[in-house]
Amino acid sequence: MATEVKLPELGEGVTEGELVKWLVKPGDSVKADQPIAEVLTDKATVEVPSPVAGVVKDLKFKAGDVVKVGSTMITLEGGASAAASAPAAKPAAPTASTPAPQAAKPAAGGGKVQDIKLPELGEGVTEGELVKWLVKPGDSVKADQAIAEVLTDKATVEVPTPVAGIVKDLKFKTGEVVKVGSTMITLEGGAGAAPSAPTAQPPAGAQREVPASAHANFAAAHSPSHSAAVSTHSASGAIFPPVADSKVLATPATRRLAREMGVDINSLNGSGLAGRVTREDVLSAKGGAPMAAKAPAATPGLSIPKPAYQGPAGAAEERVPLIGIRKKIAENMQRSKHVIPHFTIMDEAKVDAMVAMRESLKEHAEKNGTKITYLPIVMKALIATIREFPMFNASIDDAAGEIVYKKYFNLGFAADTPNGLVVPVIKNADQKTILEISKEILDLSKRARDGKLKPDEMKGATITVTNIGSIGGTYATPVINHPEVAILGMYKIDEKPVIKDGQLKAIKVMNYTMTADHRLIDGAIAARFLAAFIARIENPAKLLVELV
Amino acid sequence: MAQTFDVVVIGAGPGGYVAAIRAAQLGFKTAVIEREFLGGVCLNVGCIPSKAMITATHLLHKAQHNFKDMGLMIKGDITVDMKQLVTWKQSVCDKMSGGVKQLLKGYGVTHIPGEANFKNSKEITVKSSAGEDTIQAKYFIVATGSRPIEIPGFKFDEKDICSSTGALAFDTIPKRVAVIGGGYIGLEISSYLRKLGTEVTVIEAQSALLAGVVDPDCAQIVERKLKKAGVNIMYGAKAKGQKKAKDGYEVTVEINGKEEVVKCDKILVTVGRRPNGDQANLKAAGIAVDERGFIKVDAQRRTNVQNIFAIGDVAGQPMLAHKASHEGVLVAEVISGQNRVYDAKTVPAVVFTDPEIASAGMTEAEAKAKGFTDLLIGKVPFGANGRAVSMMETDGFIKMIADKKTHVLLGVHIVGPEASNLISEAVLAIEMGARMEDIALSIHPHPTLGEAMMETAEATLGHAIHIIQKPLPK
Repeated sequence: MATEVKLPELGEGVTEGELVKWLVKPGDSVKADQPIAEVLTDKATVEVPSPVAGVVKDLKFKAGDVVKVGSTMITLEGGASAAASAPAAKPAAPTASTPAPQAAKPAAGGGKVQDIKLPELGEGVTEGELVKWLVKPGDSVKADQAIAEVLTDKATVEVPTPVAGIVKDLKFKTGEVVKVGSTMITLEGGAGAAPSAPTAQPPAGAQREVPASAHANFAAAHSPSHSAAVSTHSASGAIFPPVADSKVLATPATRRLAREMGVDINSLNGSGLAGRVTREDVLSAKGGAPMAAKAPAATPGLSIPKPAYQGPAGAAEERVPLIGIRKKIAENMQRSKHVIPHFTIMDEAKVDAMVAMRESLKEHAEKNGTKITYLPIVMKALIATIREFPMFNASIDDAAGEIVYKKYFNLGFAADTPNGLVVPVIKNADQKTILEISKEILDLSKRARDGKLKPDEMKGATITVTNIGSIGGTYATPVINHPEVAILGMYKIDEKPVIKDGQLKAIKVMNYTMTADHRLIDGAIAARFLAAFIARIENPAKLLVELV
Repeated sequence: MAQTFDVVVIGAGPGGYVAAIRAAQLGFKTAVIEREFLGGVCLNVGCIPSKAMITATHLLHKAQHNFKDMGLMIKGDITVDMKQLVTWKQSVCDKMSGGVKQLLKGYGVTHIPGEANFKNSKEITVKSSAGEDTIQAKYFIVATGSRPIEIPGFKFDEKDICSSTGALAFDTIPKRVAVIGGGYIGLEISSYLRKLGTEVTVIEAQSALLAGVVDPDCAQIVERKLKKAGVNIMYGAKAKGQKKAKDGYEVTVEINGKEEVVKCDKILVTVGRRPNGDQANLKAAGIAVDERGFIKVDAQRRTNVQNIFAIGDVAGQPMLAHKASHEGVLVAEVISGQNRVYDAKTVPAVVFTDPEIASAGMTEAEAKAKGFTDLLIGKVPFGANGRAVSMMETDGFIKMIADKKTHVLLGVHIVGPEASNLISEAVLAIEMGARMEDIALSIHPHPTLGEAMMETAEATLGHAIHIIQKPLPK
């Protein structure tokens, strides 16, 4: 009997991954929990285990393919040894993505029981809080009828049922957090339900995948010869987003824009006069379509246009999908530059003392099984300076209109990895010694390069340091890691001639830049901050007397 | 060898030729098959020729009735050279049809004369005087239109018993015409025939003209004017049959259970149009057609067969040329991969009677049915409009309906001079979600008929200037 092994949930917000390589091949027999493939998500490379044992029948993807969470990756033939480790194998439901708990209770109407799941609520939205139920057990619902209101981190959304039926039970209580893909209610197929769901209805999530193809169509519109790009709706099939009815006030151009962007205009609350849905409403809803754009201030950076690029020659160019870590970086950088007015101040520090100090500590560090780089020393100087200027460790909560000062110090550092830039975080760096920080940096850097960082290890930084100097360059203007408000850049140590006491002398210098959020930090403050920071770099002993 | 195209459009009416041009603009190798004439019914035996006749007879009527008052004296009688009028009308049609030909050529669309029939969902045959060809295409757009409905006992010969096609080709002025059906085609033709001096009897089965088609207040104005002009209108009347008499025809009419006879020389049957869903052998391609003969389509005008679309009259109500053209563009863009659907809020309707009737959006009854319980309604007569007075065309009014809560415009109904042109502003306003204030605060040029639009918007808000209006209760 065949068992399908699906790509499991890989972590919050992760909906797909790129298949890096297979660890098994057809004919292999695998044990339960044995890794079968490596998948690169936008956060890290993950090994996907098989939940059950069996013999690999076939592989469903090629290396380089993008695999969605929930897609079948391989099928396993249940071997004799497998049965023990997979007692709950459910052979009866080969196609349903999550076999419905078909407890052998026949439904009232004789119809079958269907699970209605929380559908994809928009890009990046993985869960929502159940605000209220719009149905109760025993109610009969029509296809597309709203069954619940769910509050996501962007807006309140009405969740429709894709099929008709009679509500059997509600799986959550008001106030609970529901993950995308979780079963919200079960429906018994009522007599009235059958016509609207003549064939096995795809799960709600599948229906909502139409916007993606809508995007593809939109892009294809720029290359008219691409005649194959016709969506697969039929006369009876649903068109997404649904056709605007006359209840929605919006100009024809806005309605078209919404359609092209895959935004269901019927679900938006217009911000214009008399409730008109404006072009801006549509643009700002895009980040979390399809849902109401109630708080445009809370979703800055989402009205970013997506211009097409058309190259002159097909053969001289190669197109690869923008996915994984690179896509995440692109989004983050774009959001940051869009939201934050950046400015950078630059200065030079005399680092003879710091170099000497590090030299003197080398041996000590080695005895302790590590080595000391300049980064932890710089971090300590940074923390000490932040205590003087707390706004550098703050965030702006645009939605609430508040500045959030953080009394903890989680220091991110930009790590250059083969997959692209990632930012591991040293949590509570103020409570750790330079040696401890050194060890942690070495560990995190290595795992970052191997793509083995856990999502948690890249979250929650309060300020970031980027060490560009290890590669080259005099000064740079790094991009702030939103929602942080500052990023410190450090550059390579160089020798510089100075005249001191009438004599030409070589001293060691190191350049620093402080890029700050100009909404919160004035130029003069940044200049003072950088001066105070450099004073500590130039005199590391100052750090000692400031140690808490 | 079968010719192959990306897109083949069947029918070159206002839906088909527009779809073909848009498809060609989008880079598709496109052909359009037409069995009769480029431009379809609209350009050849519908909209355009009837408007030519209406324009000419409108001028005649003004010369006869208004010129004297205006001090424009004509020596002797004005006579009509019917042959020349019809020749001129035909020249207008030919010019328009020739224009379509040029456009198709200019965009590289292959025009194939002949009758198309599906072999399967990928192939059609085209039969013409030159023989039969097979044509293959990735996509088909069915734009085969509609045809006049024939009623029992009145078989069209297009000479004495006519549809609109025959009526538009009369080369002498008929003395007496019986018009069966008081819909917009019947009334448009009745209007201009009466102006030529024909005795017209309208036989209408319902109790009002244009019933269910336009706002009843608007229909009333036209009715009054037709009666004043001497058109005989029979309500609740059913044409049962006809027979040839010594002088012309006798039409038997059942009215209130009794039979009456209408004597006439020509019979015009305008009881509606039927979609051509029974043509082009749609079954061979597996295209589903509903019980009324319309091809079933979705909001993208796709049929149940993935690569086949249908637009215009054959794809559903309203059977209007401008709706067909809109769909033609839409479908070509859908084929090119654009995410388009038909989501127009309103399709304007125009009746070229005297005076003209035009409407967009909902009637009062429709608005109420849609749940707009509180309405703002404003009505301004053309008698209060300087331009209308100076044109000596003061019959009629503009009526606007808005939602009381939001002041958003829901519907506009115009009966009066140039209603057909004035309605475009209403269409734009409805599509844009305009409020009454938007129209009232937009400065309209003076002196024009368009000012009446602004004034009507003001009237809904209770402060029109050129009529005496009690302020609305707060």
